Amino acid sequence: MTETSDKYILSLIHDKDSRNFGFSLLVQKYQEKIYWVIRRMLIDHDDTNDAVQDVFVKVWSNVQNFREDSQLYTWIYRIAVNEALSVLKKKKNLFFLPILNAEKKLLESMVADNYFSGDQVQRKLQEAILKLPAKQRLIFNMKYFDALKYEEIAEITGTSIGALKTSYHLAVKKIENFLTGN
Amino acid sequence: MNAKISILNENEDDLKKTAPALSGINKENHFKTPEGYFETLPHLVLKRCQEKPQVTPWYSVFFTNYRKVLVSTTVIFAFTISTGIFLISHHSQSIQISRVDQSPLVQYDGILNYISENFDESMIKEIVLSEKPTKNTDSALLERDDLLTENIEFTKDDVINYLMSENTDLYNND
Repeated sequence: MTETSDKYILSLIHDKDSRNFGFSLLVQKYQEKIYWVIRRMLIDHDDTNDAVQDVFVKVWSNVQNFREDSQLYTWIYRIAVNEALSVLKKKKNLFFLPILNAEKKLLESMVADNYFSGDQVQRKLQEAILKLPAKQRLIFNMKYFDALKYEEIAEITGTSIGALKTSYHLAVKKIENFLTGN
Repeated sequence: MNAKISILNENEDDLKKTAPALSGINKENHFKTPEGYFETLPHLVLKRCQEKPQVTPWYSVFFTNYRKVLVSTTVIFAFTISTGIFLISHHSQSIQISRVDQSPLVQYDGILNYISENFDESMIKEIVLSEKPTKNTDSALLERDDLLTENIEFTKDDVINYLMSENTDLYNND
């Protein structure tokens, strides 16, 4: 895969003749990052696949209006985050699932998932993460797994840096207590 | 695909202090994807983007977005209608019962009271049995179909019925 700058990709997309090519480059560049962001939230691969495709369809529909006042990746990331949260909300509402049942469903999905190869410790960690509220889980994943800076997370989620730090600190504490059995 | 994430030292130090158990867990990604997934994804996405957008019917969008509101509204509406129907039917029955019970008795009592106060039995018999009315007599009033000028509720039939109920022999010339 050839590394290409956002500027170059956008210039290709804005040109009618090269739009498809430019968009393919965009998808190739960001597909894995976006996929894993969503996968950690939705757990199931099939749900993630649908959501990822929906994200890029939205990018295709709106990239012409992208104002470039933020990074392209941040913008796509934001769409992905909203999509993941939206899918979780729909799942909960569709079956009138209370929060605990929704978390349980995700955990069962992970345990049964052929595409999860973690050992017992890894499963316990995922179980702990799934106990977090959706938005807190999102922030934890972005900080812990994706190593994003608080400034970047703030831009994606629209949450203040102070609130993010508090949320992440609390998430870490909850997970630690769960892992140690406290 | 396994992704190994590298973490900044700053985060690691923070984590070791606040969450030693968590910091001791390998951050290796144990979620996997189907073979060749990322090779085919761009093609699938582009194909989807170039498909004609399906027009979602307005009612489908409306129902999806307002499902909870619609269900709640329907339940409340059904409950209100059923309660209203119950109350109306109950009220109607009360009215009908009151009418059935009261009107004949009122009429009958009215006949009895008036006749007993204003006419004696012989006069009534005379008028009922006569063929022609006699003018300028009190009993002549009984000949009218509406019977009485003051009270037109009861007719000659009402009087006859009254007399028969009192076991008066209309044809006895005693």
